[in-house]
Amino acid sequence: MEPFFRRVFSVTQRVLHQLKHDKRFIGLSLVVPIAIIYVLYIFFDSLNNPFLDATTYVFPFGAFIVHFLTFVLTAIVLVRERVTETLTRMMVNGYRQMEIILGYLLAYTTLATAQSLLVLAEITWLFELEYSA
Amino acid sequence: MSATLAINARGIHKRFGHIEALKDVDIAVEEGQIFGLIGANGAGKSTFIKLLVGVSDANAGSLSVLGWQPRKQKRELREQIGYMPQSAALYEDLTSTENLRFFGRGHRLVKLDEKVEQTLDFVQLSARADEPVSNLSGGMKQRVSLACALVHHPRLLLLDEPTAGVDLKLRSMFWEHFKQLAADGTTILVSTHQMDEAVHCHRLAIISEGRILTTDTPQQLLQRGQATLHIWRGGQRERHSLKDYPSDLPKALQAHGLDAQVTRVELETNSLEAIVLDMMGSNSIKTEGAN
Repeated sequence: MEPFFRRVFSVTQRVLHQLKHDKRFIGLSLVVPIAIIYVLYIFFDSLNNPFLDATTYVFPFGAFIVHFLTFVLTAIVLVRERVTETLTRMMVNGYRQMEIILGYLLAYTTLATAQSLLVLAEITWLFELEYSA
Repeated sequence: MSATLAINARGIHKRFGHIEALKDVDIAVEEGQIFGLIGANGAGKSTFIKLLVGVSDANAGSLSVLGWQPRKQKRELREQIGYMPQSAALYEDLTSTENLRFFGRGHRLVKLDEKVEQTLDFVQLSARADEPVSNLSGGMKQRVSLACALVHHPRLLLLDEPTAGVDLKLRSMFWEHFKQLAADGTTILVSTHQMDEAVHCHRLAIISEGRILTTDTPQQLLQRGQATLHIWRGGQRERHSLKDYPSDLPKALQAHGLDAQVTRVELETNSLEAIVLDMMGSNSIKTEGAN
């Protein structure tokens, strides 16, 4: 394998390994979007307006929540890397900026996919959505 | 001459906004030396080391590290240097082995596992190799941090206060490691504010408020201090100040004579700490005067 990809996968592997150990972080990143969607469900339910189609709003909102949370969580982790100087150490130890960014991107895509599937399942169940061809 | 220099810094200036962190810094470190950068907190030691590893750029001056320019030839340089930051800079939820493997992978090392094992053995942490770093004591974390800087056998080791917050026994062990590495040909630049460590270095640079006050060997620096010769003659003590005591002492003894009435002779010399503090004090007074 090319050294570039080897280092990208090394960063991904390390980030996923850290995520696996950080159960609180995983819990928060999976529970928070579910809770927000549930609050949204209560909101639309309380409006009880037959002319308002909730499904028009919940899908984009669900996508935004997943995108926003993943963005915030990745930013927090990168800032932590900078403060603890592990980012500097990574650079001095031969990792390049692009390899670090791609490594993080791959790892957090895994987390975002899990979040998206959970949010999609919850929206489908709560709002009784049906798929049609 | 420059062929044997591991670090050659000439007229380095570094500014952070209106703060001048480094002012006209000249440092030359020969290969195989242990070079100490001595200064108080905020003197500019870490800033200088960050320039050497290429994570920061100087505003003026020329800098060559192992013959490369740190900002322009990062990739070539970083294969050859090891850097230990002031903080442990480790992933606390990974084990020591996992940390070393991760940082080692950045260097495309062959036989990585073997090198990780050897390095952990060198810092005497093999027994705790598979424990998460968060379970280790502060001193052990520093040893893991040193191991991360050593895993690829660098030609130049840059250590930013490696013994800060480390107990006496461990400090002595660290210095044994550094001497062993230097004996094997590794050049070491170590920053510290602990004077008792300065005597282990081959050469020292005293830095204060971003300016290099002097560069010399610890022995030569010690000789710059004042010495006081105490002579007890007939129950009375006489005091004689000596400026350059290795050469002035014989003259003083000849002048004052060691006759039968002299019952005791003592030579009191300034410690390295006192000499450095004196230099730093003079520099602060000069800076204030200039302002």
